[in-house]
Amino acid sequence: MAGEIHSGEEIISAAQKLSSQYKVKHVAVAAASDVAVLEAVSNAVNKGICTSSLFGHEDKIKQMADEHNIDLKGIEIKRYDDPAEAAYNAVRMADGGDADVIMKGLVSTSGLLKTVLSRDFNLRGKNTLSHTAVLDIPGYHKMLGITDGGMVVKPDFETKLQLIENSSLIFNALGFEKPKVALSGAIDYVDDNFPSTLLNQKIMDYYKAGKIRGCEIYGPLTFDAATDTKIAQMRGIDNPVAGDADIFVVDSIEECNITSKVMILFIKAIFAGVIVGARVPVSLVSRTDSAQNRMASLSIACLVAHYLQKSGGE
Amino acid sequence: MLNSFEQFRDKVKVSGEKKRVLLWNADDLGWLKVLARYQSDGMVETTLIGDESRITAIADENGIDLRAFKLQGIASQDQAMEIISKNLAENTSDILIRGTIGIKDSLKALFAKKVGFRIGKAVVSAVSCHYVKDIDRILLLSDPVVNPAPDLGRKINLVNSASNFAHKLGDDLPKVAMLAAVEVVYPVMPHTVEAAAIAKMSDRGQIKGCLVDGPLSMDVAVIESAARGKGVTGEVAGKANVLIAPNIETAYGMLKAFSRFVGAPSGCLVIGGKIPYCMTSRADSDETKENSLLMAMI
Repeated sequence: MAGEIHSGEEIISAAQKLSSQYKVKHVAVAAASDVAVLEAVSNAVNKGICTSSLFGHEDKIKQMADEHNIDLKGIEIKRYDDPAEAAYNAVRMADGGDADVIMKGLVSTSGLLKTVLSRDFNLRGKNTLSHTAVLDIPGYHKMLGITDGGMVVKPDFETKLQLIENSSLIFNALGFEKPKVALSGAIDYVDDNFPSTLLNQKIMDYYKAGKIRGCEIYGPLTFDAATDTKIAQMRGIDNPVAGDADIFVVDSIEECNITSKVMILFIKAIFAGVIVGARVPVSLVSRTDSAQNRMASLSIACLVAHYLQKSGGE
Repeated sequence: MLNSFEQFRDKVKVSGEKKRVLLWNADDLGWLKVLARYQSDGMVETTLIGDESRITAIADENGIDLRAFKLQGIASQDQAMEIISKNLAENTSDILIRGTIGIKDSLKALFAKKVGFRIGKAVVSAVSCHYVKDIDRILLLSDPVVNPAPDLGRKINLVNSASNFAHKLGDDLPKVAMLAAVEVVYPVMPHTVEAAAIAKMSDRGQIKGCLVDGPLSMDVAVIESAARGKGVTGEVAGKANVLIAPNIETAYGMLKAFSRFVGAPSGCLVIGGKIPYCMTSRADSDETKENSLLMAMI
């Protein structure tokens, strides 16, 4: 894929383009009787972003589609009345290679991810599963990935390294060869009173020793210094990541979740979220996401799936 | 409750009180401009502390008339601290403002016991203030600057300090949200447990002067339709006007998301010391500086 992707719109069009050029990505939906999920899948299929199999309660799915005018033409329904069984079989389809993306429906996130990681399948990767939100924020000159606001509560050293690797992979899939990763802090320097800055210093040491490749890292950086070159300069920070970050790796689930919500709620930042760390990406959308954000989330999962298959095959 | 920084200014003007202000390391163009305006409106009486020649050079270059200011030249930070502690001891200043001194240095110097900024064991904290157009209200947020990792006890202090500030804005019973990533209690997320404990304390009247609920996610805390949609009831959900972040990284990220990306008029103030301390960043706009001054004057 040529070039870097710089907006939410481009994520969607890139996924469309990819599907027309390569084998279209197939999404297995785990327990599909969820209106938000059905709408997202139907829209994405209509736009040519993916094809899909819905695992779940067939009558409920059809009834929901009727009630909400959702077009399920060309979408296969696999009948499993029990949600856990539906999820299990959706995951099995991905494990068998017939689905490229797993999408969460009416099952709990933790239940679905346990199934993904189950010894029954061969979908585990070497890293922990983590969630990255890719935000298209009006006022920022590029997209910003932010992790982890959905899964990892409080990353330790090892987990933070994996968050860096997982989110970098997403940006690789978006066409960035060496994404710029900023490690978040409430201050731009290391201070004993700020535990997160000490952890980030350890990661910087590790990075400087050449043990992390495939991305550029700098931290601790405050949110403003990570996203504004002028502020970084004013504070005497001379580093290519400062002011131009692609990814902001934060210190707690609260920091990520709450800070991104401020921007999603009040400036309508476009948001695409995906879980990586397994052999296939897992997509989850929520009722409160806008239709565009749900489409962007499915699109990014398809882009990641394509990238994983391409790089795995090399 | 006052609902915009314009209303803050009107209230301060009507009171007619002149506040005595100290600008610490005053070679700061943004603050000199803001204070010159307030000085000529008769709202403040300013003492500039800092390198005399640099301050006058900046004022000259930018056409700022320093005649109405008191200027106290210093040769070292020790001298600055002497002036500040003398003013604190003699009650001759009402507001302290951070000029070009570094955040870290300034807090360290100010918190030293002999300076007299801290009052006994009273907790010093920062509260930022944001006017958010979409919901047409002022949100207070704590703590983006001073307390790195507040524990349960410290969070209660933050609730009380931020509520006291809300009282000054005319809200007798602010609605305080203990923010978290979710609106349910999960033992694996300690912040949700602490938030619930504080909410319970509020229910039982152990915390007074405000209504506290939590854990609440950001959307459920401030957006009524989100609270309804997720079935969270109570008097705070959807209507919160005081937000307590679980840690400093979250609060700082929110502060910058509001001020930089959302474009919400913002200000930031350190409270709980002997006098309020305006602690804006050097990169902040003059407007943010003025808003912080208004917070201090109220």
